[in-house]
Amino acid sequence: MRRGPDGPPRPTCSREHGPAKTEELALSLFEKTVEGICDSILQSRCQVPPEDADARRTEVVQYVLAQHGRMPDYLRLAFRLATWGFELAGLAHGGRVFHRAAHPSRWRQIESWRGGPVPVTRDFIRFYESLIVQCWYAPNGN
Amino acid sequence: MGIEDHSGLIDRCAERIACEIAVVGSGPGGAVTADLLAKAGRDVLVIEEGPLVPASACRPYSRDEMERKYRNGGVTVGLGGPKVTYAEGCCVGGGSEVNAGLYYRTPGDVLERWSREFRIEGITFDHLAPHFETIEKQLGVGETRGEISPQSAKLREGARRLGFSSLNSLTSFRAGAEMATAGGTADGDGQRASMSRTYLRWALDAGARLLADTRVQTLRREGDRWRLRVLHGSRGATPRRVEIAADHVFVAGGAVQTPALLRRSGIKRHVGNSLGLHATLKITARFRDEINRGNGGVPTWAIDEFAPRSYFTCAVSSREYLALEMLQYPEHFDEIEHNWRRMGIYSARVSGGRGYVRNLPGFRDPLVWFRLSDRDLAELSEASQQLGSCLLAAGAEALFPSVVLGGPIESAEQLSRLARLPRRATNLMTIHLFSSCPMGGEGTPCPTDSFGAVRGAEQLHVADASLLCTAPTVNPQATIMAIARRNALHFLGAL
Ligand SMILES: Cc1cc2nc3c(=O)[nH]c(=O)nc-3n(C[C@H](O)[C@H](O)[C@H](O)COP(=O)(O)OP(=O)(O)OC[C@H]3O[C@@H](n4cnc5c(N)ncnc54)[C@H](O)[C@@H]3O)c2cc1C
Repeated sequence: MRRGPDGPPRPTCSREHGPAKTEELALSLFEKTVEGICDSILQSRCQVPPEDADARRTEVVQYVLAQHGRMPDYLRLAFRLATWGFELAGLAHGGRVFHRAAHPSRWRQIESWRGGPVPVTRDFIRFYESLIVQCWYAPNGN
Repeated sequence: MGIEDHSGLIDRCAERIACEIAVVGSGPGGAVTADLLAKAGRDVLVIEEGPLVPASACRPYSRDEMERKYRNGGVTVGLGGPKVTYAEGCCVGGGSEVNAGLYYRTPGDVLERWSREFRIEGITFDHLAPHFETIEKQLGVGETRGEISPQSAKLREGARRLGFSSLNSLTSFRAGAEMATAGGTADGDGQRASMSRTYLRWALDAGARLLADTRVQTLRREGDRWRLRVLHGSRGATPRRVEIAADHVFVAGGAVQTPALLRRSGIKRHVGNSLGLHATLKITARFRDEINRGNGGVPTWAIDEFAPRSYFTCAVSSREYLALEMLQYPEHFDEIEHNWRRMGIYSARVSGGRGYVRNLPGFRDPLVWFRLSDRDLAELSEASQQLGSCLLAAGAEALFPSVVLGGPIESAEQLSRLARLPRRATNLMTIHLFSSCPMGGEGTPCPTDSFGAVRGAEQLHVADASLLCTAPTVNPQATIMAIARRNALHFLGAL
């Protein structure tokens, strides 16, 4: 969703669903992709104690989404587009969009973007990893 | 004492406000300016985009602090090469509310250059000395008390072994019990002498008013007054338009936001064309013994052997900061779980490079573009090797620089891997930005004159880090405050 220079958020596209509906769908897809990225990185990088896994996972996802919302607006838009691109790239990696793929396939996709030759894909993964580990190692209020 | 309950705070804002002097931004530059002008009996309104967060509301260097007191939650990056992430405060008090309070006077040779190359009147070390003395007295600047932290001690030890000159930085942390457990500096307890506790408070005591949660969108000249179009409202709430009329405006939004505001207002000549910063490369070191107290403060030891070209310092080394650094080393990432108490982050910093600040049509946030020249990058390579050798001399087992290298450095021979920092794979950061609207005498390509007045605009001044002609090479806050003080006194005819 884009914000005008001063005003309230304005829709970025309007097709058959009408602007609000399309935006809602796009937003929830975005959130699902972010959730998927958080899950995979947490699972592979951080030792999640099973007893509070759900609460911590939710905290991390919320933090990442909130920080995404606080980014400079032109970067926010670029990251949103890249996140959708990442979601769709799952089709090429494992035959499913990223958030529907199984963890090993997701992790392979993350690794391949992290080690890829194009700086943008490396920066993309680094951005998400930074926010996730930052939140993980500094729980709320710390 | 904070200012949360001060009667000078405007909590209900009318649709139109009039004042004699509007100060845009409440960081060190704006706060010093507002204090002097209010004490001189002028009618001052300070306008701050960020919220008023009580000084003790969040732990220094915590995530909570990032979310509440930093611009963009701390997520900002300058494009160009290498990439530089940077942080700016965005709350009442600006950067002073989140910083380490390390205090350095501007070196004499830097000021001499400003005087010579930028043809600035009255800016030698002797001219600025009285301003520094006053600020030091007012902030209670001094050495930290007691033992230095183990992380500082390692830097001191490495410097001693290699014969490098080093020092314990002065700080503007005031002795006090408030932050004793999670102190702002790791080398001594204390309380940040931030602007909300000092100059802003004094300005309000002297009759100034403060409007927080208010962003100035544009400035427009109408007759003999300035009209400020502002949006007022706390984060998350729908902002309200307010119009402010002022005879004089001092813009003190910091080195990125000040040029952005001027440019949005159509004032573009030489504005935002010469952004400077201290480019900083971090090196995480793992030692044999425990050096990390986990209290999240900034250890105050520094190496000045290679000044003014480079400085080596300690950095915040709490677990989350270590984890961020170790992301570059996936095979070693789990050291965060087992070894973090033996790890500390250090930084090598150089001045150089040049950047631009531009507004993008349709977007609110300004774009920062920055590039280090090959020579600057070579200087940073040399500095990071020198810091690395110092840490190894102090007994570090492994070094993890913030560059994609393939693995940690474990011996002096391996330091040569830092000899050519790859532009695309080096991650720099900075918390010191300046020089985007530098002062300059007649005939210089500078947007402001010798005392910060904007050229070609009446009764409009800049009063923050943007004014510095070049990198101060040392931590910049003292320089910003001294220049703001000098220029405000000049405005009052009292210099
Ligand atoms: C983490 C950190 C640690 C640091 N440590 C040190 C240190 O130890 N020693 C040192 O010397 N320096 C340090 N610095 C740097 C120092 O804090 C800055 O150089 C200094 O705060 C800059 O002062 P300023 O007045 O130029 O701007 P700022 O402090 O950036 O203040 C500008 C204020 O203006 C507000 N503003 C901007 N645009 C608008 C607008 N359009 N409308 C209304 N308000 C606006 C901003 O929200 C902000 O609060 C540190 C900085 C950081 C981030």
